[in-house]
Amino acid sequence: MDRSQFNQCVEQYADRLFRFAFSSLRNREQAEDVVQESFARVWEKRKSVDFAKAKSYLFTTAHHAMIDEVRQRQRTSDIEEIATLTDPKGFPYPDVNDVLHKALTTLSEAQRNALLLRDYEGYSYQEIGDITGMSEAQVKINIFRARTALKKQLKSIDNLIDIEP
Amino acid sequence: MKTNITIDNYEAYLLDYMEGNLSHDETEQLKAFVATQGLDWDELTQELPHLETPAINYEGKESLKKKVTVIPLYVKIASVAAAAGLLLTITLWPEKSLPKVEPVAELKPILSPRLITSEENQTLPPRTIRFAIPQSQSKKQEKAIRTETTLLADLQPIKAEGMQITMPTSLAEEPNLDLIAYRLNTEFAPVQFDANDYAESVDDEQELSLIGKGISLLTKGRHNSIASLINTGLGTAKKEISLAATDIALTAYHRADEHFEETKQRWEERHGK
Repeated sequence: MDRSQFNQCVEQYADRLFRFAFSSLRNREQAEDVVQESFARVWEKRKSVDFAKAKSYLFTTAHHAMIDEVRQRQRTSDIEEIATLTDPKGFPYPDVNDVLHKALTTLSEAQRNALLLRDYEGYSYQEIGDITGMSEAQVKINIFRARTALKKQLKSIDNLIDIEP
Repeated sequence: MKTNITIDNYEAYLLDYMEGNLSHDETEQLKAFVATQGLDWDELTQELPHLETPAINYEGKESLKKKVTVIPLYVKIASVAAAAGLLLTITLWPEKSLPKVEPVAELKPILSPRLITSEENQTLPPRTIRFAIPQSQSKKQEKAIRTETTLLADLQPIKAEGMQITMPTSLAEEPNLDLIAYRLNTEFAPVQFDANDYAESVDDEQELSLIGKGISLLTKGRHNSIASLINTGLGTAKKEISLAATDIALTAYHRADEHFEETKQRWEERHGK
């Protein structure tokens, strides 16, 4: 991959990589770090990374970087307060998509990342498996559980709204 | 065909079913499995939510991009001539007449090029110009400027056909490395070619290593002092400075064989050899 192709990758994938990282980590600075680290890694390996496979390489690198970020948080106990659905500042959420994104924090890391790769990027289950190191069946199970969990969250919101005076 | 649905994988099949990817037989087997587990089929297969891509953008995109240097084709063409000329000039000098590189510390700060025309000239190649380095420069800058000016000075007497080199006469006065780089890439470039421009990606590391290698190869090791200067000097200095020289060396490295004889003949004709 040469410089022009690298810059093309930045143009095409930086926003998407950032959305993936930000939606999973719910922290702008950490998501920016993940994006920078992923592109730095691609630049380092540019002689061996084929332009056609750059996107997959970027998302795989980002996925690993995000896992590291989460582990780092756990080690330092710097865990962000999970955005609960009863957060008075945000409740009631006017937009279903907002609710779903807040609810992402209640999912496991594997469920969350698999779902984001599927819904944001349209990756096949096999491709998600390649990126995350899971089998295709594991990816499907994680995504099914993630969607089911989100559906339950939506239902609980509906119930709360129903009982609001 | 019997599908192996278990408590560990039935959710994967449910997802396949909801996305319309199960055959009739597989669907029946899945329903049967769900029933044996006491699960509610209708509840399990209710429509599930999907995420919409949020409108969030990464703001530091431009800072991630790498600078792409555009080198006009005429520079490239002229570089071939210059490189071949350099090769010719260097290879025609006997080893014993190669100039000694004076220690920088002994040079007085002279802000303009100094033509060496005294008795030193007896042992130096004709029309070689060497610049003194102002004392106010940092060691890193001194090294970079010394390397560049020495190399350019070596190229200065080379007047390959169709090429003009405009020497940046007050380069040593310029304290800004970026500006030096800019000037080397503009003032050094000959201007009389009108071929189409083209873009080229420049790989700093690869090209830096090839500069020394190229010069050394071209001169069959007879000009290793310059090769060494380039390797060490440019490697530690601002890399962009070396674009013009890099281009010469790279082009020469790849094209020396096919140009050497022709350029040598031209040089000999011009000098009445």
